[in-house]
Amino acid sequence: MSTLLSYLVDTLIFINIFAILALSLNLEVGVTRLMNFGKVAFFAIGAYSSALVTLAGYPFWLGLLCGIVIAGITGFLVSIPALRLREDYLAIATIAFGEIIRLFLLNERWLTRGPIGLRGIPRPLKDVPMDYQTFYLLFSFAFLVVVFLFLHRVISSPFGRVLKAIREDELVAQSLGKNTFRFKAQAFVLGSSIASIAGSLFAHYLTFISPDMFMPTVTFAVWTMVVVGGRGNALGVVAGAALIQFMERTTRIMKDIADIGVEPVNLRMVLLGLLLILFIMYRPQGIFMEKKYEV
Amino acid sequence: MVNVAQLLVNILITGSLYALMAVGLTMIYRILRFANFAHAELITFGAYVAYSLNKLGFSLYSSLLFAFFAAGALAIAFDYTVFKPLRDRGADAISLMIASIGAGLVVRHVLQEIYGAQIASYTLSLKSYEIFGARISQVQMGIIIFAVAAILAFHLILTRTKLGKAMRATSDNPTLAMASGVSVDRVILATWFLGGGIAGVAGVFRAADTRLIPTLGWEVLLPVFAVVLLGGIGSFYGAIVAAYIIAIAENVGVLILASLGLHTGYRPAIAFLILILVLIFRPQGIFGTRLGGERE
Repeated sequence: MSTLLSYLVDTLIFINIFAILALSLNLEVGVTRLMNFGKVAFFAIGAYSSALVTLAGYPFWLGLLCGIVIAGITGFLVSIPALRLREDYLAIATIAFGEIIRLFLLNERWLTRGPIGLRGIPRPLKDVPMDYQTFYLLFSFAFLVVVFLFLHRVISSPFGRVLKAIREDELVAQSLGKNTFRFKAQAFVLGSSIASIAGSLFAHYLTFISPDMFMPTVTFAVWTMVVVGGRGNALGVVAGAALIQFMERTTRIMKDIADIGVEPVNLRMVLLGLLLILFIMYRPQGIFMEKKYEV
Repeated sequence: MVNVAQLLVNILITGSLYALMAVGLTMIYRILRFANFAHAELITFGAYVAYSLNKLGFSLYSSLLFAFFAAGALAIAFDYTVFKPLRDRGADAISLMIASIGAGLVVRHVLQEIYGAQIASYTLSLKSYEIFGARISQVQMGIIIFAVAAILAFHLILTRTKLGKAMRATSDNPTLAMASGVSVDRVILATWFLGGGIAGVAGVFRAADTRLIPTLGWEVLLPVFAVVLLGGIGSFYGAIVAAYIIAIAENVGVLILASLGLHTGYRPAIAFLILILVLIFRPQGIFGTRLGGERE
């Protein structure tokens, strides 16, 4: 395959993976207004669970499932104390939680091999009779479609309407007899499990993961996707993920095409920071505003 | 055998630096009501300004003053370009926080572009003394003296000057301060400048004590948040006490981790854990009070 085409396919795969991650954050942030800044922790849990299970010889599906379950349980345990916190406290506490998970991955060498990371993570269905990268593009896209449709159903269900009611005014939802804590916890658990799916796809695509891939900047990048795309608008969030990942991948290979003398990572992070500031300032609803609910 | 004198020296250094870093963060959090994540970059910026001057031949101590003014100026620049426009648009606490994360990313990576991601070091005297069995370098001695002096100076500004009193009043109860004729705009400006400047100075010390990298400030930001919340948002004296509590917890905690056979790489997790526990069980901190009408 030509380099350009390979680059395009690679970018699209990353877009699929991060769109799933951004959709999971959108369920929490955009739909329910839970200010989760520890998203990367659940992404990491998915990646490591899936990698460890498959490295032990079990199939991909079991790794994926283990990730979903472990991330869901972790999400549940985190949500019990965290969801009673004020918004900004929740944000700070979840960042700290994400860092604790990263320190765990860094220090528990017997399990994670610490900073060296896990290598040789098996690829799912690696004997497919087609170019593997193209296959993985379709494979990850299938996951994105399933997650998208699933979340669409969830959000347009009565359950989803309660989540939106909580976002608009939790007191009103409570006074209508809704146990808002339960709904918030369910949204958080669901968001955590879906983030884990993205983590699994990430680990099995790269076949190598290490703790420094799960820095808080991943969370900030996913936040940028949601903010830029439009909080609450699932299609917008996918577009946001595409935009940010395109930017990320392009700056990565830019050095090979036209060297402008700037380190790619610096350019990328400065752009990310500027996008966050400019959107929060001039277009807080994002490129695509959430559709108003017709009564 | 634990060297108690060494432990005390380490606690004194860690705690003093946390206190200096927390001052600006806690007062801005109280007055403007948002968690300023760009505070990390004020710390880093101060450290790099001193580095540049140090390279030009200035001594580290004389470049402290420049680091102070530069970091203070950057804090004001943050407010003028990002936070004030957002306040004028009525942005909520989370929007301000997200914008501060963005601002922090921009400055951190501009610094990384200029200075590189590798470790930079100051030209320092490597002399060290032995006091009661504790090994303490000349630089560490300077850090302790300067940091304690800076805390005292800030205390005097807060208690003896009109501006300082206005700052305390605003930090204590912004609405009441405004009603009493305090010029809140001036207080905000002064708080950014003094709090940012002192964070920059702390950054120089931290870099001199450990190493200088673009993530210098980011690495200590969460422990500093732990200090701010444990001390009670807006409380300068609470922050000082909390800074030494966190310093004790970290330095003693490492010894406990080692004796339990756990990895000492968990050292940063000690502050993170305290941070989470404070948020859950005592969000008003040890000295803080709940503001009337504020949602917890």
